Amino acid sequence: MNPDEQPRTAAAQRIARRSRDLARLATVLVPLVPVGVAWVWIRFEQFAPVLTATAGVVADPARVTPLVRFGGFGLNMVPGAIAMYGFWRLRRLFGLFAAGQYFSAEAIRCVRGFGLAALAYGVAAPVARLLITLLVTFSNPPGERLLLIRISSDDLAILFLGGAFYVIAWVWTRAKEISDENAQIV
Amino acid sequence: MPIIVNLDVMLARRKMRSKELAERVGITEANLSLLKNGRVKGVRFGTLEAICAALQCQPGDILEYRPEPADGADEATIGKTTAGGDDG
Repeated sequence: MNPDEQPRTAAAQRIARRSRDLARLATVLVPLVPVGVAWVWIRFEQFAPVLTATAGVVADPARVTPLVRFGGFGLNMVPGAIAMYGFWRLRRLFGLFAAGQYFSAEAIRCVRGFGLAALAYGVAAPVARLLITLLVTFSNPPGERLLLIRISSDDLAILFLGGAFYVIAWVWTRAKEISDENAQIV
Repeated sequence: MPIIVNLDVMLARRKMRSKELAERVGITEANLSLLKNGRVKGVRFGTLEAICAALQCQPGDILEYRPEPADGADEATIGKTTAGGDDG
């Protein structure tokens, strides 16, 4: 092996190691999303004060019936499912990196898929929040029912991240063309 | 493709098999085959150096420039032009 190849091999090994770690982390995150969301709705009494403190939403846990909790879980799982899909795409992407496939068509699809998921999440999360506050306060006395429209900096950051990844997928496509051309140079 | 690769000719002269040359040069047999058939976009200087070292030859022994015929001209005319072109 010539000396020029040694640094590339060491870099490739480093990328493979870190990519395997991140793929494992993404694999763990996928099932954690529905488990975490379910936990919040099962233990709503614990989280109701947080909802009041952060969003000013007064939700009486006694009025939040199992049906309401199930509905809340369902609404929460709309952005939740999008997040699961995003983590799944990341898992696949890091698996490809670990295998040395940096610029494959599949890797580009994963980057684009994650970008779309982040964009979709950025739109779905505020909508879900709006519907959830309506749901949990619907049984409140008149004057205490809320329709909360809140767009946080986190939502904007996720939207930016999604757009950035989508543009990166375009750049990655160009990188693949260059990589394919380089592969034809012996 | 105007660049012709005459690797087969040199391999025959040196009585070397493609597999042995590929191993000496450090490229796969598949890539060597692509190179022999002119189906590559380019050759790195390092690869060219290794080929010349293995075959004990010059780059000109394995690479030849043969311009493609222009519209209306044929290869015989081009061959004549190339052979008698430089009298100066």
